[in-house]
Amino acid sequence: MPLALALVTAAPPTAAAQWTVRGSGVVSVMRHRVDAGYGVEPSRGVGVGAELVVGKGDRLAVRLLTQTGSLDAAGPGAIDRDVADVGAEVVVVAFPWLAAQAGVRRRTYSTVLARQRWTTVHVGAEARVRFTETGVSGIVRGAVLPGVWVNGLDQPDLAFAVASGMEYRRGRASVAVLYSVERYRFPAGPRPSRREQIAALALKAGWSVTR
Amino acid sequence: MRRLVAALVLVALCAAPGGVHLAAAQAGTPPPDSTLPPPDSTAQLLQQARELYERVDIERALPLLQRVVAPGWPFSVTRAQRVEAYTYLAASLVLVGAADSAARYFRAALENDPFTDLDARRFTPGQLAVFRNARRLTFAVGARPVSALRVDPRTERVTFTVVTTHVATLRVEVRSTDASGGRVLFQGECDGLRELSWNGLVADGRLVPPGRYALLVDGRSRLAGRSDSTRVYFDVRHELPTLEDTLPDLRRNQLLPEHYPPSAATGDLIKGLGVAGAVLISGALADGRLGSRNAALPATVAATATLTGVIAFVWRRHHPNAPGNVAANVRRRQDRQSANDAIQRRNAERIAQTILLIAPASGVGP
Repeated sequence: MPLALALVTAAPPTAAAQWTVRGSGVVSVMRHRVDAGYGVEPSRGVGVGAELVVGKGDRLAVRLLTQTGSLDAAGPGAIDRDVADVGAEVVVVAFPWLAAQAGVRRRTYSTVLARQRWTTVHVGAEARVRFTETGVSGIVRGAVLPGVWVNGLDQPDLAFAVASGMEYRRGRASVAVLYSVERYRFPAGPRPSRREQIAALALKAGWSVTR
Repeated sequence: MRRLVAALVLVALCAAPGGVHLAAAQAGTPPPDSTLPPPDSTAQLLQQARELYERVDIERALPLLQRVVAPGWPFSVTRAQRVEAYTYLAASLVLVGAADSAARYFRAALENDPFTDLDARRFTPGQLAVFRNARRLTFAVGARPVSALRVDPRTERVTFTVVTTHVATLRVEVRSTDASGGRVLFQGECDGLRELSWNGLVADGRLVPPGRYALLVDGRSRLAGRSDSTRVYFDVRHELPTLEDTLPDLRRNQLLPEHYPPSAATGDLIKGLGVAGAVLISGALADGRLGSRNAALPATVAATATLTGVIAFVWRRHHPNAPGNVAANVRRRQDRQSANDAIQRRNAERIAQTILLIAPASGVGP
């Protein structure tokens, strides 16, 4: 889910000392699966969100995002849940085609039984493959999540997120379509091992202002 | 007695320096050397001669003046000193009645310096008359040397002083020593001294460029039909604030390619397929233990990337031009041109404040 919200792409290079503000709306089709030792619980749903990217010059940007949605049970044993997500991220453009990213997210799953809060810290990179046609770019990004705190669970021994897709820009407008996967594996302890993953196809439409 | 003195003076003028002593002895006066300190320079001797002249001791002044203009005089004599010697010599001869000889020395003074003149308050009418006659008989043109000065051509003028010894047709021109341009300051009749002002412009109305120039003075006597000319050299320099350099032409690496190579289309196709592959790999990273992987979502995005690559390939094959780059290059060229225009405007404002620095020079070149 965080990666679904992070379907954003780094702001395009702009003249130094210029401020760029890009606002986007995000619609995601999500597939959530979790196995807490009692069998796989699949669910699916749609989320909507918003993103704000504030960039200074062509090197640095700060990204704020939020999303909410509902996941409907899609199999036996699964229950409906709501999901809400907020996050902040710093993007440093090292090269025109490569940017480093680091951020923190706070996510909440709510069911009729309980509420589970996730806090994650991620560090990753995003590569941009620019086509010859101005404004068309391919996006490939990956991140590890060295810090994952979930109430009632230990730290996972595997946590990563990947995403890739296309972005199209024309003037101030932009549209992006990305596929993302976010995967966690919690080791067995007093409790059985837990595996959880959320995949999403996100469509994002944005508008930018430069001054 | 007066005739005797005149005869003795004439003998002295025609004789060698030793003759001065003889003439003095014959006149019953002691030799100059016995009463005056031996002159050790032209200036000192001229000073003595002037003092004697002022005391109307013409008999003793004449030999001293004669020594200054004699070929055997061992000390250096400036032109001004020679002219002064000639003038006092001539004036003295007038006083002793040798008007013809006096005229000859006045003419010699005028030939050395056409600016030579007699102050009517200090010389007698007789001397002035002889001098005027000498001017009619002598034709020479002169120009005062240019002194160093700083001129703002917007408000000030350079003044040249020229002279003819008598009425003449005169042409005065400022001309570059490389003959690249000039300006006629005066052309017409002139009798005596004339001051000419120059605004620092050449014939085409532009400010005179830096360089070496000559003030050319050509005259033709209206009385004798003779011609004379002279020239005075001077240097012109410009003093103005430092000018800005204009921006150089845009280099090749400062411009974007306006045409894509044929490989660009293939490159776009490969990029699209590459992104599609990355999407499929992302899908493959899903946890297989959480059930069968859902291929619909990554396939949708992969198809989008592939389609983008194919469309980009076809489009680029048929449209190799890069209009965005062309527009960007146009903007860069316009920006450069605008910057250069602004620089040239600022430079023009600074050039308009140019100050002319005039300095005397010795000849055509160093």
